[in-house]
Amino acid sequence: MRLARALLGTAAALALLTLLVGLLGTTLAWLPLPIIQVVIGGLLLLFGLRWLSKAILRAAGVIPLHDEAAAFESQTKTMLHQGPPARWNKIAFAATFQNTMLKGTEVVFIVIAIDACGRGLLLPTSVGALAALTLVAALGVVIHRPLARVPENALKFVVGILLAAFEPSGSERDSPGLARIGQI
Amino acid sequence: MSWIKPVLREIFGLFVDDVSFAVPILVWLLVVAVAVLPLGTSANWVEPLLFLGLAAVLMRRVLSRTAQTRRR
Repeated sequence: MRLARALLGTAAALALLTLLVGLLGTTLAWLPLPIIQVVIGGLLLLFGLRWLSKAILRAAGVIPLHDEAAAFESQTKTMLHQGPPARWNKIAFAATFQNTMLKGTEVVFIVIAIDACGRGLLLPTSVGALAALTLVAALGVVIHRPLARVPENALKFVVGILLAAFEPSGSERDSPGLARIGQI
Repeated sequence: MSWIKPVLREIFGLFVDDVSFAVPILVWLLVVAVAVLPLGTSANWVEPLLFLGLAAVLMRRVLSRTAQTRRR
């Protein structure tokens, strides 16, 4: 029963995120492409370089690697103290909804950014994001443990490089995004 | 509706978790766009210049965090 509530929370957050992607993707399509390239390109740089700097610091041992097992234990203890067993169904829904919304916003930004800068990519990027979510949710249901063995830092390192290096498609050799800032 | 504030905080945090890291990135973008491009600099120079500036910002960040950790 609690698993069903937890999955329902995830589904509810996913529905809201899908709506957000559709809304933002459609709205951005009305804006002039150069402006989108400049704004989204700048945001992608901030996002990608932030991930890259953290991945470098973790790989160098300056900050500790993310311990999924410890995070799971801590969250479990917190949730157990939030109320009597009668409330656990509501807590399961609320926790998965909030966590999916929080982490899902990163994915929504990446999907919107890639579509905004390389028109017509909304569907393939959304399908990729949905496939990843489905895989992680299925693993969670089957294994019933935190995915502590996934090389998280290596993945973040690669994603950080990809996002920071992402170049809007159709850009001319003289970096039209930056040229637009100059013109404005 | 209590989930809205954490989500908004998370969205802002996606791009800026340390202002001293985010600001130099944006400043360098502006410098290249406003000061370098209008000089008619060839595109062959603009992109490596952009990369070098951003790499310098990244390196500064890593070195300063390392120094902070060592001091503790």
